[in-house]
Amino acid sequence: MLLSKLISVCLTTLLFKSTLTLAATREDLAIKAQKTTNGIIPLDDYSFKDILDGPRDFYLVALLTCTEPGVGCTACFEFNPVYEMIANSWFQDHKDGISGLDPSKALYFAKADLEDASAVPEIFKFYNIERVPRLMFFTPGGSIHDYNLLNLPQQKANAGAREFISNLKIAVGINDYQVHEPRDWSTIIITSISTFIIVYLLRKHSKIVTGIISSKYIWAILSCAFIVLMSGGYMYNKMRGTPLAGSDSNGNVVYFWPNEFQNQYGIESQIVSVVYAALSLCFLALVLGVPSLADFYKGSASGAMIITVISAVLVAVIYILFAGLSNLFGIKSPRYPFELIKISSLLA
Amino acid sequence: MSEIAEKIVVPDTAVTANENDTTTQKDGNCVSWIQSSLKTLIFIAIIIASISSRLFAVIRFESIIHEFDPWFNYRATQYLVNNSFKDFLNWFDERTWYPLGRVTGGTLYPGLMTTSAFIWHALRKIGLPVDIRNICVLFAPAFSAITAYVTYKLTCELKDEKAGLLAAAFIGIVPGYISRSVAGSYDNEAIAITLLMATFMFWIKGLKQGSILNSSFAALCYFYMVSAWGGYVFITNLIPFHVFCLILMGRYTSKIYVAYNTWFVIGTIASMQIPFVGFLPIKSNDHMAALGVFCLLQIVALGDFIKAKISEKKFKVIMWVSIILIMIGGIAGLFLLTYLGLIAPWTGRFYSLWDTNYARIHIPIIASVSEHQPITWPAFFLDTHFLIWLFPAAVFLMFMDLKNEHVFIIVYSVLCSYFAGVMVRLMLTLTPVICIAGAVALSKLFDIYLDFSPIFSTKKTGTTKSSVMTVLTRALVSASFIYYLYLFVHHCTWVTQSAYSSPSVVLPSQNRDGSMAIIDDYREAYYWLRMNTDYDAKIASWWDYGYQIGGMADRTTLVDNNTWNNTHIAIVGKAMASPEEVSYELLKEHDVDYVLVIFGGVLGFGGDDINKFLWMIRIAEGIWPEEVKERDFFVNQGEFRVDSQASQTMKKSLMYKMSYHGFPDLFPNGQGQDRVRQQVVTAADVEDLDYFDEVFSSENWLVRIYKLKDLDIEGRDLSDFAEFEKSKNTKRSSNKRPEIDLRV
Amino acid sequence: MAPVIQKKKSVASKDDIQKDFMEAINLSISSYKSQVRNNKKLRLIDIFATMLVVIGVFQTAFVGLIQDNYPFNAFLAGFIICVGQFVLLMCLRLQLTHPFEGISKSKAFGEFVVASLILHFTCLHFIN
Repeated sequence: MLLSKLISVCLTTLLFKSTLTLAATREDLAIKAQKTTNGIIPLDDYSFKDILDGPRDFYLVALLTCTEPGVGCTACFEFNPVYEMIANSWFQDHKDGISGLDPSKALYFAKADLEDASAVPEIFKFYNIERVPRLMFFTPGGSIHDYNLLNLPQQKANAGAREFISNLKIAVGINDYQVHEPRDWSTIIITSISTFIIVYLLRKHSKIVTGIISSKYIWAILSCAFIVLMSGGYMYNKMRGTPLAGSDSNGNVVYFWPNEFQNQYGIESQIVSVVYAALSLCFLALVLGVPSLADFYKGSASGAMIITVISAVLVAVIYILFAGLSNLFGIKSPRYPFELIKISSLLA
Repeated sequence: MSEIAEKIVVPDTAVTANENDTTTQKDGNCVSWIQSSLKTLIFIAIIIASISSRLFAVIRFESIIHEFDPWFNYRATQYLVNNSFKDFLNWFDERTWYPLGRVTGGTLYPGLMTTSAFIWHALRKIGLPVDIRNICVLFAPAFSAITAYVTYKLTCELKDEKAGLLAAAFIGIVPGYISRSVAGSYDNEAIAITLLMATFMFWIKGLKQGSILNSSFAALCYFYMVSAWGGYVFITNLIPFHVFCLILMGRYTSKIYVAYNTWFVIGTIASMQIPFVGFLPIKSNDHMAALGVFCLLQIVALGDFIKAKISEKKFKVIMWVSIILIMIGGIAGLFLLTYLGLIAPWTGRFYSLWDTNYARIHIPIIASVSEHQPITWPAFFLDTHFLIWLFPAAVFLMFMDLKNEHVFIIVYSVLCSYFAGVMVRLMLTLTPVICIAGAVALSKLFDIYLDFSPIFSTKKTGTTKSSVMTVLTRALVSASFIYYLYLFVHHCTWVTQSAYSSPSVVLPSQNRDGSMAIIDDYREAYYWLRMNTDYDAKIASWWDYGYQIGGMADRTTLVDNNTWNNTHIAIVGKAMASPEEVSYELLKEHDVDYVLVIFGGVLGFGGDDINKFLWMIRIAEGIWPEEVKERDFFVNQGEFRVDSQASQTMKKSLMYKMSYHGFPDLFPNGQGQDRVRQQVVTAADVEDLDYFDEVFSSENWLVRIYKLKDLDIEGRDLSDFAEFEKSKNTKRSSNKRPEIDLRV
Repeated sequence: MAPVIQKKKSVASKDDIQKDFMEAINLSISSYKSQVRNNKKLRLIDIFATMLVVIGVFQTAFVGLIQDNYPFNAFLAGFIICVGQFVLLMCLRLQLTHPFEGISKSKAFGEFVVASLILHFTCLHFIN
């Protein structure tokens, strides 16, 4: 009797559970979270509907990201550690995901990662995700379709995590959310070792070091490199965090953002800097190199020939590079009339 | 236009001609006479070129003050001309920043206005009564001519007259400088660059000769610069840094002591005479470097005195010990003083130069100004053309000579290229050094390759073949570079006429048939304000238009381009971003009578208020994070939309309603096509305005002015009242319809 | 300079540096005396400079004593003119002892007068 009762109870609970299997409870999520090291619940193909479907009595942040190297989502790679830190900070203090001060509020973190392009997780198809990373925010009550999108923090690394957490605190309405920044021992060790090595080398080879510091050639090269970098628009890339390159409507890679004067891709400034440097070098070769070569060959007829050839080559290189530069500028500003050679017309 | 372009070609060909002369001919009375007359001729050509290329705006449009800040300068100049100098310095302007007012006399740099008022008085004295507006319009071109001369003198100190003439020609027509000095661009920078160059020129002269007089002139120019532009801090730091580098390089001489100390002492005390600067030179950290180097020089001078007396080895020990101790003491003292609050903290604009993320996070008002954005590479190329790649090579050549003055140019180049990279507006200070360095490098090249003397000396040395080869090489190289010069001239002319000659008060556009049309909505609207509103009416608009309303409409504004009070700007931002009823309360509290918005949707003008709206929201959010939230204005995908998908907060905001009020009705079926955002706004999206009346929309709807409705006599809520009226009368007032398809 | 020596022990022995310093100071003083002895102009400049230092110190002490620098611009003008004139005198002195090329002694004096006039004018203006 007892046994049959027990079985029936088990069966009913099982049945009950299976009918309600779509709504996950706090306990389920807490268990899932504790299984992981960083407290982020993985959203795999089998469980994501259970986890996300309502009715909920907790808050849930879900990150859809893509670490497939072929996709090259730098923002994903940058944000992943930040997200881990955000989740970890919460689970260090709240093992069950429930706020200590206000037990009516609970918060969990979940993540789905497209690691392999051949096996796209169901959730990506379910939500029709086209852009990553995506931060979805599920509030209590709603169904699997009720969510808000959160913006990625504007700042990078730890500052970004702090910014996000402070926003999340307001959004959820919890106060006991501390930021736990993992102490990065590796950088401390690396800095101390490298400082030690540098100081040691400095002491040992002080003559060479002073020679290097007081060498005007080294300073000259450094200054010129810096100027070339700056005039290539490096600071713009740094401050705006521009993508390296873009793509057009057909999916082809575009190196130069056409028709956009106020914008540029990262690779543009690299290309342009190289062109500037090459032009400068050619010019220096004309001003410094050729006359000293002339001194070297003074009087000999073949020398004059060599110099003429070298100068002609340099002039030609400068002309071609400058023409290329004007063409590049023509891409950015299509109405520019002074392109030295129409490269497109040569190719055609 | 081609006429002007031809004129500009003159200096370069003349320069090269001059170089031929100077290098090929022997000294002699006749030759030197020819040289000097040629030089004069070249200078006249350069001056004509530099002035005429800045006149595109006047020829194309008319003699009018441009943009925004110049309108304030113009208004201040008018005030100065009509009142005494003392009144000007004590001017309290209650017609801006209502109800706070602005202590204008104490918060402006008076150099520009004083100079033009002086010119005005001087011209009247000699019997030439010129309208003050024309003086203001032609101020910048006139000073650009002086800049060319000063740059010539400066470059002469670096190399020789040939390089000087090239540099003068470059600076005369280089777009990077023209961008801020076209006719009508009556701004502080117009005079500041001249003074910058003059200060540096006298500084280099003083340093080379160790002359007290030249350094005093440098200090006076510096004083003038302080009175004219906030960018004087650049000089305040660059010159001490130069001296510091020289000391580090072990190049201390008594000349440096004389030059620097004279400049510093006179310059500092003189700069404190400007009311806006006041005690800053001894309080703000921006100026501490100069003070530090001043103290350092005294110590170094003492050390130099002792060094002459004792052996070198002993001196080295003493020197190092003292240096380390003094540095530690100095840095500790600086921190202590800042910590105790005795010296002002670093200013925000200064921070934003070093920590590139600082402004974006902490001061949206600085980040919102497009002049404070980082610069892209095409902008460098546009502003300097081939000089930009000559520039690194030129700096390298400076290292090869490396006299004291070359160190100065190197320091200037490296620092300024960083600053220009961070902030677009500092491109202006970089341009002169690019011109100078480029001219020096190019004249070095011409020294080598434009020398055809081997033709004449073939008989004495070498074979004919080798000399022919040499001449061929030289001809090839110089021809290619002369061609680049020619191209540079055309580039400059093209850039100037296409990019930098628009007054932005009057917009150029084209009719369908390609003929030029002028969009004059701004002045139309400002004139309407001037004629149809009460003299004491208060106008609320985004701060960009504050100076123009003050200058052209002569009405009181809430905020203007001075941006000294962030909270006050945030009030306007909040009013624009809030729902009508909230805005109405807020605006009524500030006695506002009219609200002015700029709307480019009809015309396709991208710089309108809806595009600036995000900044208004951000600035308001900085003060009232609870009431204005940036996120509410975005739709789910994180996009900023204005069509039917726009967020509810967006549609409810005053800015949205005012911009699109009646807009869909212009189009058939009420499908308003916004030409800026390329989105369709339908009549259903735009809710009615209950608290505001449209009183004026300009020809192309660029400027729209609304009047705040009076409080209802019966004390009803205005929205209820509007509902009541609507139920009575469903007929809507018809707007005059602009010919939207006219312009492309 | 005495505390300087005590803090630095690693370079050489303490006594050595102390000796160096004493030697340097003695040498400097003696050469200074010989420089000034036969030159009335230099003596005049030095006396003037000393007077300026005294006035400057006196002003600072006065402000420190009364614990108030109310017309701050007046104090500043007074102090800066002392420093400025002192520095200008030093410049003149350098030019008189070792004349720079291109600037004769009388020209240096003329330039000094002009610079001093500018300085005095601005300071007077600053005092109000």
